[in-house]
Amino acid sequence: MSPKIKNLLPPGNYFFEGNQACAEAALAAGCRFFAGYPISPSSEILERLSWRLPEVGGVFIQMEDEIASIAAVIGAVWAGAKAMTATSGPGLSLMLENIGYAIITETPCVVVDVQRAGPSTGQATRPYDGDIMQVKWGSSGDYQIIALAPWSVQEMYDLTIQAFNLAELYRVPVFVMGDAALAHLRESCRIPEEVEIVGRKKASGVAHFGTDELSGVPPMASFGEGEGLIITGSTHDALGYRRTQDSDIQQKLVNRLNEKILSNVGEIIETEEYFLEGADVAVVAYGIVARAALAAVKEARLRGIKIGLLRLKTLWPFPEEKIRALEAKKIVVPELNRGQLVREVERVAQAEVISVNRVDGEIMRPGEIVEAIKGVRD
Amino acid sequence: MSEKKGKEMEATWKKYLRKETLPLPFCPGCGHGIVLSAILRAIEASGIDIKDMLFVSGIGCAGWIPSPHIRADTMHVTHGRPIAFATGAKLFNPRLKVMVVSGDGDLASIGGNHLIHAARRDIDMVVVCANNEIYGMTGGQVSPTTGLGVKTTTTLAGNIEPPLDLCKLVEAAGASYVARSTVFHLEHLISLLKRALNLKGFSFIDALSPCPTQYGRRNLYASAAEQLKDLEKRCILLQEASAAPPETLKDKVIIGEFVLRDSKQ
Amino acid sequence: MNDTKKEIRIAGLGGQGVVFAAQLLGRAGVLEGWFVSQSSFYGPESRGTLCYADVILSRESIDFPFVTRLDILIALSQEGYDRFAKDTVGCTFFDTGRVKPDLSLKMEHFSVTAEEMAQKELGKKMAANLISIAACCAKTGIISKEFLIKALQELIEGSQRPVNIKALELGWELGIKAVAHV
Ligand SMILES: Cc1ncc(C[n+]2csc(CCOP(=O)(O)OP(=O)(O)O)c2C)c(N)n1
Repeated sequence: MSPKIKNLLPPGNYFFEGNQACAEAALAAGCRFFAGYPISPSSEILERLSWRLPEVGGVFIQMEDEIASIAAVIGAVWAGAKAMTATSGPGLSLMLENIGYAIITETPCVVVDVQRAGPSTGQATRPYDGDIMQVKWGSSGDYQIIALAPWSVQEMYDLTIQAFNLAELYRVPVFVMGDAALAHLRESCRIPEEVEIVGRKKASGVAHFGTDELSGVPPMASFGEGEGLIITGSTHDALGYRRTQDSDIQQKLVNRLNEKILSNVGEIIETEEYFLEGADVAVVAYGIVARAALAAVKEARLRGIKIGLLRLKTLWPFPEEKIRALEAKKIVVPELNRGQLVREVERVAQAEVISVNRVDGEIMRPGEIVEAIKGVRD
Repeated sequence: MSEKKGKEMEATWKKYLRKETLPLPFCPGCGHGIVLSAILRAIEASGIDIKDMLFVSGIGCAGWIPSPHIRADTMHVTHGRPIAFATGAKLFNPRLKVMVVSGDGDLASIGGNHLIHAARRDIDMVVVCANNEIYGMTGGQVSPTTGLGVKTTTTLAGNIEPPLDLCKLVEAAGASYVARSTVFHLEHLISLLKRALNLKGFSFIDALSPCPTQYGRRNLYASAAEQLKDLEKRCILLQEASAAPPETLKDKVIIGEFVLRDSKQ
Repeated sequence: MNDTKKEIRIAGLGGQGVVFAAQLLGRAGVLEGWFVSQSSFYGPESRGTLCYADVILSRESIDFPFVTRLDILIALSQEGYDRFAKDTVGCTFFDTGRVKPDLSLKMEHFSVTAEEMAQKELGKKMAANLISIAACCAKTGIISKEFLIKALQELIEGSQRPVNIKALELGWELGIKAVAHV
């Protein structure tokens, strides 16, 4: 059972921007180190933590680039911190090599990706679901990460806290996938009196990089505790020794890095269902687009269409079972891209899948989804 | 080496090295093992508890100097980034005594920006560049510190790009302590390391360390020993250089302490 | 007008305090017990170009947090008015000195001498934004004066506070007295 710790802000109903809520949630979750590099539309997180972290005894540093930012985060985590960085698509691209390092060294950390229109510099202030595949596949090798998709300012708060907890539970980088619209949207945000926090699982004198269970998550120590930690981004055995020529160890490590996530999907994945019972059509949506989707579904139901919504709070690991279980004959997947997550839906769905897209850097509106739904039904 | 000294050294090895990781993985004649012994002897002489130390290294042969051999916390990270990782660890836990050991390719090329900014911030850490003037691990390609005319696998006709003087770079960026020595000048190198370990602020030591396999072979050194001895010919102490006529210094490598500023004050 | 949901847009030029006014309105809305979503839109250069910010107040949780049916327009500049007046279904509050309204549009128009009052009474043209939103709240009853002032006290500290509260009070008086143009 996770201990509840007292929140840092007095409880109450705040009126926050998505980015503010995210920064405050990090503090509430126990984040005491942030390193980052300015990039729209994520910079308010960096700016707020630059003064909030020192207030709570934490450390803030603006690094020389995103590569250094994620590196400093990983260094701080091994020095004992709960740590986070925040960026947008181009910055994430720079971080990916070190994210691979965090994965293979099983470093718990949180990366907030406030997505914007791309490719490249694209449109810095426009919302987009551009990095859905980048977070999953961008680093080299074969691995699993966890990615969460908040749909409200409240969830920028709640899911950021959850990201820290999942990171500790599975010793893995966890991504919070915001976007330009959510980052700057202001909504009421309830700050609870207490939040549930998962602490670091520690043990001394043990192997910090392996367990005998295929899906096990080993405990970890910190620098300066006399453990003589050996950390490397090369393939390593349970004690941390480089084993760059041993096929068995390579296979065992890669399988465990994957299985510790995949065999716990039941614990990790969260979705929400609206009106799915008896629905002929199901909308599968995530992030800010799911807000438009819910409005659209309600409107379509008023017009007599039997339709429901499956909202994905977890994007990775992908909620395959939830999609497979949909009984609808048609599935509509609206996204702010030319169809990224829809490929995963297609991979597992038992029904016809229709992709609805918007790529002009504008937010998707309920009316567009209603039109798409009508088209699907006819 | 006297027998007594040999015994002392052996004791040092045992205290500071993980026996199961020996022998060291370096080629015969490689200077990186000497860099390691210089570091350990400086730590021994400084009275620092190895348990308080964190060694961070990048990718390359030089990245293997501390990791996993030294019996302390070691972090072997991505290519070019050890200073950035070390910055995070040091800032979060200032009690850690942090030393970065990496190669010239790692610190000066792919990681050059982190070197500049850590020096500018004067982050309290010791950075040792095991400088073999070449990319050793990847097969002997040109590096930012390779001299003019030197043959490498990507400069078959001789390097045409002027090398970077890392000490000048780091000095300009604002480091508290900047010095250079070589593995040939072992006692000198140890004394610089000792000094750096006892200072606060960003300390940088450029430690020339020959690579017979990739560099020596292609540049007509008869043996590793000759390449090592050549360091003696190439180098001149700062005090002597200050007194010498500038024309005589053209091809010389100056060794010594260039910046010594205790930022404790 | 829908009594359980109000979609409000404040439109003006960068530098007129459009975003701040919307934040204040939104915060006051939260205090009043509404569900609130507030978003802002501005071009790359923020000064002197069209800038607008939206506030949605709802008695139920808000599904889609952006404007789909504009109930109230608060126009601080002609550009803002021209761009959005024709999409407005409820009413418009416009700055008398800045906007020439198109009275043929099918909605109520309320003229507010916001900038003039701000200059005359407070010596601070910049306060026209607060005068305008206060007038809107007074006339439509969406938010009480008490919560507007409370929100302002949360957002502004120190010596600037009294003059801004004064602006809200002036706006409130103007709003109560405002009559629709026809
Ligand atoms: C991102 C990335 N690019 C390239 C490499 C390949 N690589 C490994 S070591 C190395 C050069 C090492 O040279 P140096 O730092 O001088 O160390 P040395 O081996 O000479 O001691 C390179 C380019 C890598 N590991 N990662």
